[in-house]
Amino acid sequence: MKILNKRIYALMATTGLLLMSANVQSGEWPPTGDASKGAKAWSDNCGRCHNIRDGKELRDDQWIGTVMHMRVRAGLTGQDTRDILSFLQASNNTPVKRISRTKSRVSTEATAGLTGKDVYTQTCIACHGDDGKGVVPGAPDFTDNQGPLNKTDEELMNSLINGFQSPGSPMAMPAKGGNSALTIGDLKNVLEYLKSTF
Amino acid sequence: MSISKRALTKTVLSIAIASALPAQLLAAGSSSEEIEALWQTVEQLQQQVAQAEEWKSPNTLIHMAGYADVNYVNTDAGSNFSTGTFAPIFHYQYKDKVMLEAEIAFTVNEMGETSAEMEYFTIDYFMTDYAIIVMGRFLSPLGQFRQNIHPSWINKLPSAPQGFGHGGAAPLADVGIQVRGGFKMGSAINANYAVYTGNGVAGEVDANELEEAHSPGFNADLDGAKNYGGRFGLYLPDSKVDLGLSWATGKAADIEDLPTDFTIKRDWDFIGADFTWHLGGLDVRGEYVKQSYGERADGSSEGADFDATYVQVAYRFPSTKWEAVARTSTYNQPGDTLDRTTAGINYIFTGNVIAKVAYEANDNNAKTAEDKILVQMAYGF
Repeated sequence: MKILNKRIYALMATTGLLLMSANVQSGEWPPTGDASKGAKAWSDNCGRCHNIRDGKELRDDQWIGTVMHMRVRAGLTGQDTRDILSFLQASNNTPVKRISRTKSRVSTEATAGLTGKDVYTQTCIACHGDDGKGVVPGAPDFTDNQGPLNKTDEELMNSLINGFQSPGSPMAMPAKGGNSALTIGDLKNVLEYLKSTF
Repeated sequence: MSISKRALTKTVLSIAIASALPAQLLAAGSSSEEIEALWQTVEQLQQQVAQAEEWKSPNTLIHMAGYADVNYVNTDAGSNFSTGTFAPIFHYQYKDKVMLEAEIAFTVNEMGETSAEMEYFTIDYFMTDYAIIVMGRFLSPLGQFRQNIHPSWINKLPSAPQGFGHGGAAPLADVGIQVRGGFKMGSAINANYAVYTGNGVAGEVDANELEEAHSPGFNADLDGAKNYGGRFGLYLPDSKVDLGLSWATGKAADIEDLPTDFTIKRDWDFIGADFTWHLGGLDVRGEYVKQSYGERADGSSEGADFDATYVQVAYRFPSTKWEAVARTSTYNQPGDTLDRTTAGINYIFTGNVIAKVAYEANDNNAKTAEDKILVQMAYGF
């Protein structure tokens, strides 16, 4: 039995050393990740044990402590943790009423090479699913004839720009789906994609 | 001609801003109203930046999380209001390298006396993206319910399954060291793991018969032999399936009437399996745990098994805050089998604030278990 114990301890130690030497952390402080990947990681992981929490519940600094705690609890990788943190920190921004001098100053250009489908796949699909029916509680069904795509383009663009919470939904869609890098042009493209696909 | 103070201020501000703004802006034909709006925006931004500066991440973060619940219980014998557990979790974190975690559970007994119990207290070193060293008193990494599901804002019913509470078949805590973390196995599988060694567990003995399994997290190695084991889990994000297997082995001390002779020890083994499956608003989970205590070396006391199982189904009604939950659980311990079936309705105010109403049917060999109506308000923070 003692020999077996020694072998098991040696196996644990070897495994530990391999894992420890496999990668060094980003070293960046405060940690930053990819918000669009974070949306998927958040959708994949956070509902495994508990109800999904709205990004607006906590401030950016509070989310740091919370996701580090959850990394320990849920066995998340460091990269998934940083991505989820970036998504939650992007999700809790309060939309600021911007004052623009003329409409012509608002950039309507889409990001070069980024189609509406690309935007949907990278940012929206984590919650809305590849079939548009929604994969997290509260996400609406885009294929429903009486669903949200019945709204006017102006209403939908306003929701995409500033975020929106469906009635009865446990959390709001963050502004720009949590991906602050998207331009107005990108959002128009993804809206066209939604209307032509679902 | 009288000039109002506001008009004068606007004029002076306009001149001042105009002198500072690029010529192109003025050439574009900015009106005084637009300049004033711009000035207001600048002031708003200055205020927001000043406030945001205060919350920029210092090297050490102090953070509090936790949960609490208040309850109402009705049985044939009467009814009671009660406070459940108030369990703040303190986090002190140095960058993303080290985190101190401590959860203290405050409870109040029937006589109104408050007690505090250290649920866990660890210092975690985030070694790499895939490995965290956790040392101290930790929730048992064996199984799933005790380490992740038992907080009242996560547990979908007001009570725990039979065998997964204090003195049950699922180990509660241990004091030792563990390495835990996660890694990707291709693009479709996330793996998570925990391996640990710790002081271990003890069996409560009366008249040489094992009666109860004890794993509160002993702060000393009572039997002189470390236990070790762990859990390995696979999560399949596409199908929303979680699977976990747990295993541990070592020795267990005997606890009898004090003074206790801790030199008496037995073999101890643990196995467990757990699963979770999500499909839209449907949440199905279950777990099996078994602790096996060997007989005493001198043959003066036989060994015994403690095992427990639960299966839970919950369904969140679409586009509402209502959720229905049902759970059945069984705990087999020496001389008795405890069954519990619970069904309830939850109202989810928000993800971390939940009101629960449930009916709990209890049964045991002696038919002494009472059925209960449970009402609970739970808050995760």
